[in-house]
Amino acid sequence: MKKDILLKAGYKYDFNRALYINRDAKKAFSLEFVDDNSEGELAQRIRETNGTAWKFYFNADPSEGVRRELERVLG
Amino acid sequence: MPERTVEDLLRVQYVQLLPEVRRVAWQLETEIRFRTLPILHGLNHYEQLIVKSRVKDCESAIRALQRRQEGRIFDPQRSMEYSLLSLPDLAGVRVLIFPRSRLLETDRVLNASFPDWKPDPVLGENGTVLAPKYNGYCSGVSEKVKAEYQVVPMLVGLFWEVEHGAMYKPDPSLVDIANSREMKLLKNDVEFALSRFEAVFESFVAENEI
Repeated sequence: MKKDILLKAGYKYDFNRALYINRDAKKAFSLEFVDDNSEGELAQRIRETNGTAWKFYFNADPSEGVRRELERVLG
Repeated sequence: MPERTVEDLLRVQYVQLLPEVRRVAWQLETEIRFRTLPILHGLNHYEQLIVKSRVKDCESAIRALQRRQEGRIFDPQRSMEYSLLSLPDLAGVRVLIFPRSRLLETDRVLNASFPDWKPDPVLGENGTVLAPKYNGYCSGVSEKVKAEYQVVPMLVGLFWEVEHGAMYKPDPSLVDIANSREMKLLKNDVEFALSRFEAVFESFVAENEI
């Protein structure tokens, strides 16, 4: 199951934002993205390396304003 | 002057829409009361049917719209694209009914009265239908404000009123409690127990031909 793949990879679900978040990897997946993509796609995205900035996996790319607000909330 | 936030713009829209939303709620409640009148008059002394309407309050409407956005956040750069009119339940009517056999009858009657309304049932954890729910427009009253009606087993419906009032309305931070695994399991247990109570009650009535 997709949820198990994310939990196993160290992601935690944030109910307020409906995001799977991994603070160490600095990556967040929206619930909609998880629902709309296959397990294989998800696993591939989880394996992707990331720099120091947050990476958001959304169906619709978040705008700068949304990114800034989410980064502020996520710390 | 600071720029208006998306929430501010939606509050303005809410105030502008409110009279129309109220008219839709009154229309739908009146129509449902009228359609269910024959059932109401035919109830046995141990059966009940209650019709309630409500207008979604401003902050609940804004939160509901926010929950539809990815990341549950409004994009300030798209502020003009958001509209409370995209919500299916600005006006709502709930028909509480006991016991369950009357629910099916009521659902059939209302379904025939609102044939174009879109079904969107309330589902339980295992995918079973807990309550039939529909949304659509009250023609002749508003072509833009959508309304919703649901037909709910009375015991479960009254539990939801308390549960939703306690968990969601007073303090959004309580959402963590509502979403905790333990509370979800307990909620399922309560819903199951109440449904079971109704089923056993009904079979008892049928066996004894009360």
